Amino acid sequence: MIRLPHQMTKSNLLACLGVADALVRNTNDVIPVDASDLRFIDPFALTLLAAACERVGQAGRMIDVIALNPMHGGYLERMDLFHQPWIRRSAVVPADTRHDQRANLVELKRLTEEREVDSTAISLASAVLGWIPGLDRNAPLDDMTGRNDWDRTLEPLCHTFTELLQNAVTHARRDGYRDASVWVTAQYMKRSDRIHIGIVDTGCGFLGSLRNHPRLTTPSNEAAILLALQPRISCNRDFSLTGDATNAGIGLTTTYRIVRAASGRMVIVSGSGVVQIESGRDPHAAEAQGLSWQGAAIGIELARSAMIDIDIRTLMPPRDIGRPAPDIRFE
Amino acid sequence: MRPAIAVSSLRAGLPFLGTRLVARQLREQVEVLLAQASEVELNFTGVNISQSFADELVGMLLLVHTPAVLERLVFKNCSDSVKAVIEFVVADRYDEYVRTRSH
Repeated sequence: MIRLPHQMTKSNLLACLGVADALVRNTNDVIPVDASDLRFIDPFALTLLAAACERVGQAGRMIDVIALNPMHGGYLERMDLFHQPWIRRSAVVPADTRHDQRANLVELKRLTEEREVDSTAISLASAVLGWIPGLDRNAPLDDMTGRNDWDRTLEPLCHTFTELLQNAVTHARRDGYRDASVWVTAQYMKRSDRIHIGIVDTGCGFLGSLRNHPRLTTPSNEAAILLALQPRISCNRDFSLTGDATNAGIGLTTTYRIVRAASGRMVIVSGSGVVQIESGRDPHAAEAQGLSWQGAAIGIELARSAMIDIDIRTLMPPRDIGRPAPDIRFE
Repeated sequence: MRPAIAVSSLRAGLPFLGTRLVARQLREQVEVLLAQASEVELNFTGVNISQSFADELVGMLLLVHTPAVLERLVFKNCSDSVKAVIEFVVADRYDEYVRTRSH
């Protein structure tokens, strides 16, 4: 039996990875899961749990949730965790509504195709913003910019969602992982006024994508993640100008810069590598102490109030060549 | 009269376009029009774009058709963000174009 811990959040990263690892490694036909202790699960942990459950299902096994916390168990139901063919639930879902976060959450979504990315990104971003008190989509537009606070907050969120989702549905499906899928969800936490995002894929991982990149000097998971945060990095850029090289090297750069600008936090797990970024500080890399996730698991936290002031223009990586760029005809 | 494409028409109702898939569809439309007309207008009214989108559209046109293609493209009604993203991608791909041809 696998018991879910009291807290499943990116702050409790090893516990989350431990559950995912235990689920994937378990060889029983039916794996009993006890969620009676679970009090809180954030979007990162929820997407990781959903993706691990999918892996169990892909291996022809089944998960049975045998116990749920009477106060908080309904949350997992509302997030649609149980609406997957590889999960059954013997436990009765509590009817308690005191901890109903329906107004602040976005249900789990599973993507497999690039064509789903744009509409999913917009619907996720809009849903998250819709839960923020005082943020009105129809508020008057600023005379100078033609935008309101809704627009200003929506744009960095859309950049974040599309970049992460596109990376996940395209790069993840390399190296023999053609059936990889992506799990995503988001939630606005009123108390901290922060937006939490979780995006987890079941693909080849950062090292699988970047293994042959000329700038990857050490073939480790941590090094591959750190490289992907650099501007102009891609699994196929710098190799040639033909064929698949159309997939240019933008990587996670914009998301990384948005996280820094929004006093945010980012956790990236891939294989046994973990990279954490706290507001303003340089990325910190480590090993996951014997645990791992095959694919990429990303958790992000953004300060809602700081997002309004993010100027996408200032997030563009600096150019390191002095030659003048060609003129562009803007009208 | 120069032919024009409303970028927002690619995915009606979406205020943000981010994927290479959609940008590739737009690029193919632009290439058809470039074969027929001296210049093509891209109207960005009501839509913002990601770097990936801009790169797949403008960056690839620059690489495939040489930087001279920029003289035949008109970017209309771009927000400051869209301008910044296009400027970044053009400079980046232009540097790559120059570098790979100087070897």
